[in-house]
Amino acid sequence: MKRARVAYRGAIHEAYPHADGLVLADGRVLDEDSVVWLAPFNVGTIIALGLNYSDHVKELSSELTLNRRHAVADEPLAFLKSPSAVLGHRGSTVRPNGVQFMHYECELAVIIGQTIKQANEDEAMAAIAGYTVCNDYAIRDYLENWYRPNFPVKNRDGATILGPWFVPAEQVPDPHNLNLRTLVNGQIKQQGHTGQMIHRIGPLLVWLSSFMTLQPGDVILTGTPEGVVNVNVGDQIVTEIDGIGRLQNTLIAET
Amino acid sequence: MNSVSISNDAALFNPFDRSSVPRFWQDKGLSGQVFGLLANRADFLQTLGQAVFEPPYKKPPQAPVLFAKPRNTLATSSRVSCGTGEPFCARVHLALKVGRVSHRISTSAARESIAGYVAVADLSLEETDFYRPNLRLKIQDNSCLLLSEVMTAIENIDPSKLKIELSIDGKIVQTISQSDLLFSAEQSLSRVTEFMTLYPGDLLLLGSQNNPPVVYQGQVLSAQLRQDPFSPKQESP
Repeated sequence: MKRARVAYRGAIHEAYPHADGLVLADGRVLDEDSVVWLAPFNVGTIIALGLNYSDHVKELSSELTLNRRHAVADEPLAFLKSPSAVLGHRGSTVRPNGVQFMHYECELAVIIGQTIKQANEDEAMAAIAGYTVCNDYAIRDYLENWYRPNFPVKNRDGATILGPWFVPAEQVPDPHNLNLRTLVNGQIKQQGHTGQMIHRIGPLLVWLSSFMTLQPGDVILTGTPEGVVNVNVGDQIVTEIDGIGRLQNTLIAET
Repeated sequence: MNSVSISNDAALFNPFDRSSVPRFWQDKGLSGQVFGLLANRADFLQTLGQAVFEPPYKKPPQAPVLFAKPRNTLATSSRVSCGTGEPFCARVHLALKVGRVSHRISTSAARESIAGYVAVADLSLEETDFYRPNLRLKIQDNSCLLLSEVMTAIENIDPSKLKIELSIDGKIVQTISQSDLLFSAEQSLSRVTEFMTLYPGDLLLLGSQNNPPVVYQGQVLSAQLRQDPFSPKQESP
């Protein structure tokens, strides 16, 4: 079943979808804005993929300094984030004063449910617990060419939104057949399809588990297609993936 | 994939679950979150030479260059058990242990956020390219080793005056000073917490020397933290 984690009147609750919003484990039915939404699972290691949709690579190509090849051909570009970056649905993310290019990134997040190491593709896919939506903001003004994308760009407090629902793997028969889109103040600005991923989920998990043990709660953010646009204080950004969820965030000013 | 996934629901959905940080780390009051600075010494950039000013780097780093050692890297002993027998570079860092929730800490107030210091080995396969993070090289299982006891940060400890006396298999091989960091411990904490809150028990690795020793499976690393050559070390009880 889909599940969410929310805070309501002094406690953390598990919640499930309901026609009127959500229903808590204790039976109370509430609407979406009555609760504080948290990430819908215990987040472990967060591994993010860069440049994993070919149209997004083209979009950024004028700005990439050089196409360096890793020692292993076609190795994915992957980087890490910390739990401090995580924010839930219907939250607010700070837009630093004076930046020129802060953009959203609508991504399918793959959540690991079992411990695997050196898995083959079948084992890796079987280890997926479920999926959720991610909006992984980037602030390109801070980019430097050392361990890029560097932490000030991609590991800021509250700039990696996860949720609203944990969707179990059995409800997602083909994670590579999902439409995704981003709306800014109600207007569609980004559209794509998870079938366009360059490195697909199975091989990605095989690659990761070849050198690191993946554990329950580890989550892989699988990249974003083209259509990233600067967003400003006051903008309401909705990143949605059909069948997975509709994740909302608002930008606020730095205090 | 229509098969029902058999997941560890306690680990995923029990909000009070604490099982993922190894006991060895919890016992030292560590959260299991480990972050580190790359290139935080002049000799690192000097070795790269002119390449620092050319693509892909284009210029030296203006801000601390950060990496993370995630929970799969947390070793529970200081015996090298990383990889499958290939040589690893053992980058040895002085790490500060964060003592309180730290957000936008000023340099002058930084020491109030530091609970202690510990020597940490950050093992990696050899890196020749620092343009992108190299996960396969840097975050192998058991590639983050605690080498010393945690030295409690009492008021008069100046981290720039700490030295790490590194031993491999019981033999002292190197004494690593902390006086040549580009961003000091206090500056590092301040710059990092500008945008990324650190929490009690988090470790921040302050940067390693160039030409790290090469180590192999089975070797035992250890370190003593010394305040200066002449005064006795102070350890947490």
